[in-house]
Amino acid sequence: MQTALIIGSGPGAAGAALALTADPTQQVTVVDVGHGLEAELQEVRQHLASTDEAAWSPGDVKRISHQPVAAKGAALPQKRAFGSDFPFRDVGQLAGIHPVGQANGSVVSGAYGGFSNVWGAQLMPFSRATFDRWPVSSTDMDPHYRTALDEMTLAGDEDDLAELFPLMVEGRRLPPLADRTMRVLARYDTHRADVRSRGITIGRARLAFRADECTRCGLCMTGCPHQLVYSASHTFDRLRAAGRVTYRPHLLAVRLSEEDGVASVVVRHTDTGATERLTADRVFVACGGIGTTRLVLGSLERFDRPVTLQESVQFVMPTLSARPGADPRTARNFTLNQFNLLYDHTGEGLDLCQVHFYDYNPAFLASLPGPMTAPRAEPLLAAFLRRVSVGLGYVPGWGAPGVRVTARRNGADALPVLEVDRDGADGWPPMLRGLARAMLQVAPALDLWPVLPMTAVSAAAKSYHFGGSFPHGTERTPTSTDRQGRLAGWDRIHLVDASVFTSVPATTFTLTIMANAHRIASEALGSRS
Amino acid sequence: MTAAPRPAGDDGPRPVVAVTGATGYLGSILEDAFHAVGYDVRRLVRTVRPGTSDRAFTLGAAVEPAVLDGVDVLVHCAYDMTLTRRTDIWETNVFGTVALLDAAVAAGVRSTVAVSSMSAYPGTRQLYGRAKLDTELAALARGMRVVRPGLVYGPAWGGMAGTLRKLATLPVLPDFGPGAHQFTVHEDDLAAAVVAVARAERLPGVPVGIAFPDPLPFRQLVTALAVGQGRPAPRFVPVPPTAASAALRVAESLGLPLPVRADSLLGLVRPAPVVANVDVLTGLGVSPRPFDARVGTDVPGSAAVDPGAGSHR
Repeated sequence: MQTALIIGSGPGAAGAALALTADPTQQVTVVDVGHGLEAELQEVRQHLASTDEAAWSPGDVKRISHQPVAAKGAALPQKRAFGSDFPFRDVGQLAGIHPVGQANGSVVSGAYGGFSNVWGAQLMPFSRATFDRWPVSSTDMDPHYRTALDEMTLAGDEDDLAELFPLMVEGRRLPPLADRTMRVLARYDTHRADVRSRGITIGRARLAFRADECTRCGLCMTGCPHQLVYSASHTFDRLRAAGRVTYRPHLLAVRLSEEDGVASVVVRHTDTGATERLTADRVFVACGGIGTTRLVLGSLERFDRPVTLQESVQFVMPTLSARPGADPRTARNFTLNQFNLLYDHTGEGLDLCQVHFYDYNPAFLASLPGPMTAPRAEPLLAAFLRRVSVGLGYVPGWGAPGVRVTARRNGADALPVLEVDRDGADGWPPMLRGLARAMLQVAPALDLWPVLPMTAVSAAAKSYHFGGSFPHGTERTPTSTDRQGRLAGWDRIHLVDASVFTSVPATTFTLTIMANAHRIASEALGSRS
Repeated sequence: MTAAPRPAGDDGPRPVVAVTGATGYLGSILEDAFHAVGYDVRRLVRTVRPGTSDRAFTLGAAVEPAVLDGVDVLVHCAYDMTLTRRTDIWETNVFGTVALLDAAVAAGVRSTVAVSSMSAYPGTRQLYGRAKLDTELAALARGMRVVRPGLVYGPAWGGMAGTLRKLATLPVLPDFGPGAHQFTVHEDDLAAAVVAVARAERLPGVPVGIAFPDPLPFRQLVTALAVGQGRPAPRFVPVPPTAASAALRVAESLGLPLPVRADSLLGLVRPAPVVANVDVLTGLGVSPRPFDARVGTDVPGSAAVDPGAGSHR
């Protein structure tokens, strides 16, 4: 038997695990901080999942559906999962991470399943033009995308977005879309030539979502009680139940090394503080873009030299329509992303901005000023909610300042101190201005008017779409990896998360992390010695 | 992009190439070229000639599935240049192309070549270029081949080269500044390149530029065209491209007949910076020649252009 050790349990780790466990000669161990949802909240979730919705207690629903809370420097508040902040909570993995200014400090998850417990569940591959600039082609990626899509359960339909982002697998049908979304899509169909000629394409959401089982209870954004929205923890639950992985929680990886053909990981027990050295034939590192960067910089003792990660900078753009739709509060809708807008700056399918549009969910009310939700303002509130959608958008990583991280020495067998900062000025990236112009041009056709004064750009590392600290290149160097995620000097340690992305486009992120990790692990098995 | 068309010249039935836009300048060149290497050519045209293998096809209209029955290679040249409104351009040229490409997939056409343009380059503001970029994306997404010919010239002197050649006989012409240039390709080189692209076993999924790789400044091009016809070189008067474009748009809105459309002018004054992916063409054994304005004429002398003279590289 060959031994493989995976660090982490997020989407990158899940991708690697899928490839490794498909090979019966691999003995796979996962080490993870592995913090989970509080037991009492888990009980409430399970109770709701096993109970008819008509019998749900309002108190139970309230306990597991806490709305997002405002976060420093974020255009978007921080989500909660089943009423808990466990995906963001510091259980040791954030100690020593120092955000500068408005930068995000909660950049490494200690949760079982990582940040996929709170992700937006959007599923699209990177464009062909993106991979034209990688040492890995889109053709190389296709089978791995298919594996990841099958694992995550794609819900989505064939539409204009498929021109740039093929579906690749047969998706489940989305539940009925919200009234406002249907109106926008209908106007897009009517004015398609005009809108497309401005570089804008619109299509339905593509989601990692068992859509055919959806009861439209409306709790998607705070945690689906039926667990229909994919989390990497689902993959590990399945692999553990099948006996294909050994899962070791409460372990924080603090150092990597490789000597004489043996890869080693020093882990710290988060409950006792004791350290332990684990060895394996191969190690797959999936601590997330910044988590992996920190671990590698400390292991290689690269201190005091800033490293810049590309970040697909996030913005929030409210939109209004002149013509009102139905009052969304009376409708039963799923509340994940409903439709997507793509803007192609240059026309070659590369410099794409993407905006995911959300129709009403209770977080809208929570974000409004108090007077608007007062009983006497009800007519005003209704008029507003019948016209508003919120766009959550992204700009390509090469079109905006990145995230600069600097590791500082922090003693033996300890992760380095890490400063996290914006590598440039915050504010509107030029590509966002181009998108805004194009959206104004098509606003009359779509009846979708961006509210530019209320458009807000998030501070550094808030998007969670960052990577490329050790990008795939044509050869291994101390700062770039080969197509198997290996740095110079490491033959058996593979970085498999977004830290190895050659670039970070604005299109959806997590699917490519999982697919690329699956590719790396598959190719590593193919080349094992 | 691995679809390999049946090679010509064996003892079996001759392979069939369908050509859209076959009545146009490029289409007629390619029709002859494929015929010369052993293909049966099926012209997809608006007006079918009785007694021929022509099939009825109108870009932007529904594609009759039968028009591509038995076709091995599809070469798509058609583009309606009469349209000026962006919605009409997209409805007809972009969505019409997508419908044709889908029909080619459904018909099992083994190799499709979408003829784009050097005007299609990232960031172009020309509607023609943007529309061509959209069709390129559609073709590449379907694993098809895309070529971007430069300014095509040859003994027939058709298309934009023919228009410029006529304009070159005027005594005074606008000078749009040092940034205005073109990449040129001789008809024969274009024909050889498209045939090679269509017949290649495997190609990278990128647009293939077909032109001599050194840019030819607009002034030098027009001067050569005049001299090539035995005429004196025209005088050039500096004209801001924006002013010229605005004047052409006004004239277009008034319905005046124009030798060059405002949108085409953008292609002349803000052209592609380089010939895309020339290495792919070189790998196929095709190397376009430098420009020579004397082709198809009896005029002696030097209207050939020094290959290095216009180089910005």
